[in-house]
Formats: sequence, structure tokens, C-alpha cells
Amino acid sequence: MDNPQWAQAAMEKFFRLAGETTGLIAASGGANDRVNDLLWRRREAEQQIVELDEFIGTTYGKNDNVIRQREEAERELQRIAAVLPSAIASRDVIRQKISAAGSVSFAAGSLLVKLGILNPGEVAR
Amino acid sequence: MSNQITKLREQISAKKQAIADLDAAGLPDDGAMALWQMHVDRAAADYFKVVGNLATNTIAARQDSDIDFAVATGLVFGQSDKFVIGAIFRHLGPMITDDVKEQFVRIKGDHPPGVSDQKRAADRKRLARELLALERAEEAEIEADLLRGNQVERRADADPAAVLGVPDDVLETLK
Repeated sequence: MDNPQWAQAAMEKFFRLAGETTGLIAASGGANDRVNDLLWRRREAEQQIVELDEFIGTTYGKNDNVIRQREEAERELQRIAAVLPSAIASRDVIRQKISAAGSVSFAAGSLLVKLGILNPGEVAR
Repeated sequence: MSNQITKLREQISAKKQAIADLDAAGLPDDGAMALWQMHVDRAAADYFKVVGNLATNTIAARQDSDIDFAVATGLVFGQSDKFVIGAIFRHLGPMITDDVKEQFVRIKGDHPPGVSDQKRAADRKRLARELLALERAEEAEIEADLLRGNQVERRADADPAAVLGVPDDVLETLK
């Protein structure tokens, strides 16, 4: 038996909602990568500062080159500190959107299953 | 997001609160106090059961050991609580009831007003219908906003029936 018009429209809308959620999940990958990259660079810069401090503390004579490297690492830390909060914030916004959109599309799919319009397998969490 | 959606979301939130209040509400005052009195009477009945045992023991007693409080009150079985509580309510029941009523009146304003089961069911049905109408209106606004090219996120707890445009008669079949 053919689905009535409302059921057809409902099904189309469900697949649109599910598609939007999938798109958001794909977008979240980039946001996660950006945050992870910044966190990794911060760890590297911190580690470098510790190592350079040890070197400066145990080496006599001129350390101009090492001091320059240390200053560069400090600047890298400051650059990361300036952009990390906004990177985390945009990642969290996408996560929040995924959570809301995912809940709506899952609830919509579950209702369609309850109404016998979709099979459970067609509604992925 | 349009002002209309914001306004509808405020109304939806208020409607959900009204449903939550209704669900949290107790019975009307007389119904609630009738339940209270039922418990008082039950406690007193436990007390009278023990009093009956004691009277039977006493009337047939010929020596000291024929009357045993520990046995009659259930103390030896670790069940004397019912007798103790019953005795308290038998003799202090009206005073405790007055105190409960006084507290009842004092805290009444902090709780949703009591409703009968019949009114609760009718009100719940009406509020659910009104909520669904608001959610449908919100969904229509969201779709219109999206068509205008604006970005709008749906609420995570949006009713899927409203989002998908499922008709009332179809929803009825799920009940």
C-alpha cells in the first residue's frame, strides 16, 4: 500500500534531518582536528621551553641562539593561547548542534518506526 | 532566528512547565487530608489490635506471667513499632492532625495547587494538545525561516510529531 501524502512528506523530512546531522558530524571532524593540533603544538612548545631552560642552566658561555629559540617558543605559546579558546568554543558549538540535531532526527526516526513507516535499521543513532 | 520563534519557544517552555506542575500536583485539600486520615485510622487500628490481645490476656489471667507486654505488643518479634505508632496516633492523633494541617497551609503556596484525578487527566490532555499546537507553529516558523536562508536550530526536545507533521488522527492510533 502506498504511503499517504503526509507519510511521504514526513519520511522525506526525516531523511533531510538525518542528512543535516551527518553534515554536522563531518564538520565536527575539522573542528576537532584544529583543537587537537593546537593542543599538540602547545605541548611541544612547553616541552621545548623545559628542555631549553635545562640547557641554559647547565651550559656556560654565550647562549644567544638558544635564548632566541626559547623566546620563539614563548611566542608560539602566546599565539596558541590567543586562538585556542575560540577553537574550543567553535568545536563545542558544533558538538551542541550535533547533539540537538541528532536528538531530533533520532526521535523523528523512532516515531516513523513506531508508525510502521520506516524499518528500525533505517534509523541510525 | 525570528522573534516569532523566540516567542513560541517561551510559550512552549511555559506550557511544559504547566504540565510538569500538573504532574507534580497532589490531590485537592480534602482529598489529601482524607488520605492522611486513612493512615491515622490504620495506625489506630494496629493499636487496637494489640489492646484486644492485652484485654484477652488480662481477662483470662491467673498469674503474673499470663500478661506479657513483650509478646502482646510484638516486641519479642521486633514488631512493636506498629503498636507504639498506633498508640501515639490513637491518643495524640487529633493534635498531630492539627499540626499537619497548620504546616500544610504554611507550605501550600510553594506547591502546585491540588487537583482531582479526573481534572488532572482532562487538563493534561488539554495542555498536551495546546503544546503540540505550539510546537507545530514553531516548526512552521522554522521551515519558513530556513526558506528565507536563515540558520535555525531545532530544540533537542522538539516533538517529532510536530517536526514531521504527523496528523492528529494518526497520533491517536499510537495511544
